[in-house]
Formats: sequence, structure tokens, C-alpha cells
Amino acid sequence: MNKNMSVIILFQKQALKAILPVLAAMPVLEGILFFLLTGSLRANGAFWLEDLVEKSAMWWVFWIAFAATCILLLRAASDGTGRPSYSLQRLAVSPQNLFACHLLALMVSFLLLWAVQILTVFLLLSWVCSNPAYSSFSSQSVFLAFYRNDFLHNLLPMEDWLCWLRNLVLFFGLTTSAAYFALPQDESEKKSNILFLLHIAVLIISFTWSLGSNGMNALAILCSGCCSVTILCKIFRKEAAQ
Amino acid sequence: MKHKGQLLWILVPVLMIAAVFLVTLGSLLPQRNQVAVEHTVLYGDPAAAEGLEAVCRTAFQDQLFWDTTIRPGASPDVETSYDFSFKKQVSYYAQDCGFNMSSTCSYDVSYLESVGVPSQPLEDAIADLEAETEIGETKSRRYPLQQFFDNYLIEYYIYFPYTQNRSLLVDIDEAVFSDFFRIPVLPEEQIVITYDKTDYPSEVISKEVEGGFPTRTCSVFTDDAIYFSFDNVTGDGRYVDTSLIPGGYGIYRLPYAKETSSGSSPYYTVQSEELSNCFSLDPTVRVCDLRLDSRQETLFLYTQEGEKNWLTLLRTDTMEILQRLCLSGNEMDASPWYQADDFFVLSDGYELLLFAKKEDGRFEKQLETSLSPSEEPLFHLSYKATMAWDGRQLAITSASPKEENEWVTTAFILAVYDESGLRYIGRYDPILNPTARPEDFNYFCQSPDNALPEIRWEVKP
Repeated sequence: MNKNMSVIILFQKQALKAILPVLAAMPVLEGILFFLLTGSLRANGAFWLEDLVEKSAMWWVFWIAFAATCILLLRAASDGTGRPSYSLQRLAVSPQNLFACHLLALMVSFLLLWAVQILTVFLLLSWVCSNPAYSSFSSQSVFLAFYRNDFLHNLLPMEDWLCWLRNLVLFFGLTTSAAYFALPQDESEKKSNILFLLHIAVLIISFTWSLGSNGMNALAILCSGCCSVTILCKIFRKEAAQ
Repeated sequence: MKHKGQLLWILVPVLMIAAVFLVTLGSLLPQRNQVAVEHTVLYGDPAAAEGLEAVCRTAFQDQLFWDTTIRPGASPDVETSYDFSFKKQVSYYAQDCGFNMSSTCSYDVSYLESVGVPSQPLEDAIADLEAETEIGETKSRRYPLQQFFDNYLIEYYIYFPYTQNRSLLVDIDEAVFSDFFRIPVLPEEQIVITYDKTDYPSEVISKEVEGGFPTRTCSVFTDDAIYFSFDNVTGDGRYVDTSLIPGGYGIYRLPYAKETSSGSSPYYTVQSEELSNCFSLDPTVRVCDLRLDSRQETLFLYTQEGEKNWLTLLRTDTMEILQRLCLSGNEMDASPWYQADDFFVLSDGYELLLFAKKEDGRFEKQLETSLSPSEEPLFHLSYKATMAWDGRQLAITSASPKEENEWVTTAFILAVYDESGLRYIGRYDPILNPTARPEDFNYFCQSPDNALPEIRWEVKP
């Protein structure tokens, strides 16, 4: 097997093993909160799906899971001293290839977290709407909830292609800066790690923007795109210098 | 083999991610046009509405749009077309475009000075009243309005159609209009000034004109002119003197020019100096409404003449009378409830009268019936309504009153009448909003500009 493919698989294995408890705990916790709230809202009469999502604190659980994922993924990539693990050192790949492989593994892990959140919320909302005990929902309620609720809309932007693009650019920026963060760095390079924290902050803030925030989305795409390009330039300039 | 097995660490998560996106989007996107319509029969047989088509427009935050076509009948058929607009299609609540005359000015000294009317008589009257009022007292005195000004003070506003359903207030030369519409204040007209010295500082607390001249104005826009008129009666029913207006009382024509450079909003220039009376009326006739057909060829002038309501059809270009038609006694509203090119409907809230165009182009009464089959009204059809006439049956849609727990509703009432009276009435609710009442108004799907559904009878082969 190709040496680089082995590195990707190694990273992927480490990443999945690290985040598996988060991927399992998040839907369980969200489900418990959701069912508890559904019961209490039902006692008060009719309710909206958007209320349910907002009051169930689903987004808090998601962001805590997201933070845990970030920490676990970065810890899994190193041996605890900030250097690549022993297995990676033995494979002797260049830091640039190491960066690219780590980037791919991180991307898959973050996308997996995103997908698990979408599936969880989709299944929970579909269950409420199909449950004959809750009669106030129409055949469009789940579809509309993904437009009416900001968190849901940013999670799955439906036909809002600029929001999709923003999410992809932000996730790419996040994984790029995370992969860069995980590389062995000298003191002068450590300043760039602020980009990783900035991406986390922008990602969280952008999930509160409502439908039609095209200007903000475009700005986020521009800033995140610039950051990713800067990091990639640094990596490949380093390679050229070597 | 072992190496191939290792690839599953990548393939499985990637396939899982793809599957989640495909399954959720594949399940949610087909819901876009699945607007369910709740149908409640309030009276009669829904089969009477067969052959009718109502198109209900709904939007969410000016980006999601649904056009739901409802074909009522014994088993209603619903079809929805959906559109997502990446850019907000901003819709504003349409302000009425038109020419407005308003005589409800403030009668302040500063206002009189600003319109060039001597303010000294009013200042003197206030000073006298102040002197007469004891400390701790409030005193009112009635003055003839003629004591302060000779003619009614009227303000003029023209709102032109603008982009996105907005209207544009255009600057006009008020002096030209004030000079044209010189309407002397009636000697009976009085103003009550009240001075208050119970508090410090002492001041005039009100200046109220009794009766007053409300100048209810009606107007229509053609591509190059505004046609307008006003009700020539004061609040207490006296005719004002319109003899000083050039050409007297009637319909007035105000030409304007519209310039639109590509991509920009239209710009209007009013040619005030060409303001003229284009159709004179007897000063005892009251103009109640003025309408225009969609081809801008015919003006519908609704008037009240003595005990009767009349319609006069005029050719817009020559002002030649095409038809004079006595509509009803004036217990009926003289303004049409609904106006289309080929029919119009009058009502007094209990009865309805429909006049439709015959083949020779003349209008004739074709339907007269009660709105409700019993003396106690079964329902309430609002003044804002859309109608369709197929030569035999009249269909009316009107906004539905909100039900319990409803903040906003896209529901509407549909009624069908023929010569035997009310045949059917039902409520149709395209369910985009569930019944709960959240605090956040942004959740609601609404009709853009609160427009009613468009209705039409299907043409029978």
C-alpha cells in the first residue's frame, strides 16, 4: 500500500477511535433532552418544532461535542508532546504530506460529526411529526423547520447554496488550521494557531445567522478562504525551501 | 486483503456522510410543494364551486414562495408550485397610489405663515381668549372659520407607483393647486378654540373645526395623466362652493411624464400648469368613486345624484359618455365592492348587485341577491375581496377571520352565489403555520402584501 495512504488510514483510525464516544453520546443526550421537552411542551398544548429545537438546547450539546471533537482529534494526532506519534515517525513522510493526510482525516471526522447531528435532528423531528399524538404538524413542518430555525438552517441549508459554500469553506478552513496546529512548529509559526481558534469562533457565530444573511456568508467565505490559502502557502513554501 | 480491509476506515465514514446528506435532503426537498389545504364547509354544497380555480400566494421571509392552486368542489384538488429565491424578493405593504387632497391641517400660526395665509386674525383671537380666561379655568369659544381664512386650506399629495409595490411621494407646486382649487369657506363653518389656564404654562389645548371639509379624493392613473375628483360635501352634509374652480366641479386631469432609465427606478414630473377640468359635473352631484379599466380606455365614474346612485362610463381620451346607468337607491354603497373590466359588484352588507358587460359593451344588472340566506349573517365577507363571474355564478374570496390561537392566517373564505342566492361558502387554509403562538413573528408564512387569492372560473370547452 502507498505510504501516504497508510498515513491517511492511520490518522483516520486514530481520529475515529478518539471521537467515537462523542459521536455516540451526542445523539443519545440530544434524544433524552428532546423527549423530556416534548413531554412537557405537549402538556402545555400545541407547540412548534422550532421551539422544540431551541428549548431542547440541542445546539449547546452540538457545540460541546464539537469542542470535544476538536480536542480529541488534536490529541490523537500527537503523542502528547506535540510531535507526531511513533508510528508516524517510522513511516517517515514529509511534514507536507503529513499535513495533507491529517487534513483529510480531520475533514472526514468533522463531516461525520456534522452528518450525525443532521441525522439525529432529522430523525427526532420526523418522529414528532409522524406521531399521531401531535396533530398540529403539517406535511411540510420538518422542511420549514430547516428554514425557520437558524441553527437547523445553518446545519442543513437546503437550497441556500451560499450557506452550503460558507459551511464547506469554513470546515475546510477549520481542518486546514487544525492540521497546521498539529504540525511541529517553531516559535514564529505558533502565532498562526490563532487562525484555528478564529475558525471555531466564526463557525459558532455563523450558525446563529438567519436565512438571507448573504453578505455575512460572503464575508465569512472570503476571510476563511484567505486564511486557508495563507496556511497552504506557508506549508508549500516550506516544502519548496526544503 | 488486510490492506483492503484497512481502506474501510476511510470508505465507511465517507459513505455514511454521503448517505446522511442524500437521505435527509432526499426526504426533505420533496416536502417543498406539499402544501396541505384544510377545507371546512360553512354552508351549502361544495360542488357549487366546481370549475373554480383559486391561486393562493404565500411567502416566507421573501425567499420561499408557494403558489397553491386550489380547485374547490366536492373533493378539492390542490397543486403547489414552489420557488426559492436566493436574493430576498422584498415586498412592501403596498401604499395606495393616487392623488390626495387633505384639508385636515393643524391651524397653527406657524402653519398659516408657511402657506402664506395672514395669521394675525388667529393670533388676535387667541390673545383675546387668553385675556378672558381666568387662572385655574379652561375656556372654549366658537369662531366663524371665515374670520381666519377665505378659502379652505388644502394640502395636496401625489403618490406614484414605484418599484417593489412602493409608492413615491412626488414634489408638486402647491401654489398652482391652491390657486386652482379655491373653495370658499362656508359661512356656517366654525372653529372651537379652547384655552387652558389650569396648569403652567397656559396654552391653547385644541382647535377643532366642526363639520369640516374632508375632501375625500378618488383618482386613477393612466400612462400619462392622473384623473381625479373629490367629494364636494362637508362633514355635516353641506355642498361647498366649487364655482371658483376653473371649469367648476367635475373630473380633473393632471398630466405627468414618467422617465425610466434602464435599471433605475422611475422618475415622475408633474405638469401642474396643465391641470384642467376635463369633465364638468353639476355641483349637486357627489363623486363617490372613480375607476379605470385595465386597458385605460374607460373611466367608471360612480356618483350619488339625489336619492340614486349612478354610474357614468366615459372614454378616457375624449371624455365622451359611453353609458349612464342608474345603479340603485343610495341605501346601497355607491362605491363598488369589486371592480373588474367586465363586471362590478355593489353591496350594502346585506344585498349584492352585480352588473356585467353585455356583448354590445353596455353594462346591465345580472344578479341581485342576499349575501346571507338568513337575516342573521352566517359569516362576514370583508370589504377587501376578489371576485370572478362566469355569466351565471359569482365567486367571492375574502380574508378569513382569524381563529382561536391564530396570529396570522393565510386562510380565506370562498363563497359562490347565483340567482337563487348563496350556494356555498367554505374556508380554505393552506397549512403553513401550525396553531401554536410563538413569540417570534418571523416564524410565519404569509401572503405577500396580504394579497387575497386570485380566482377564476375555468373556461368550459
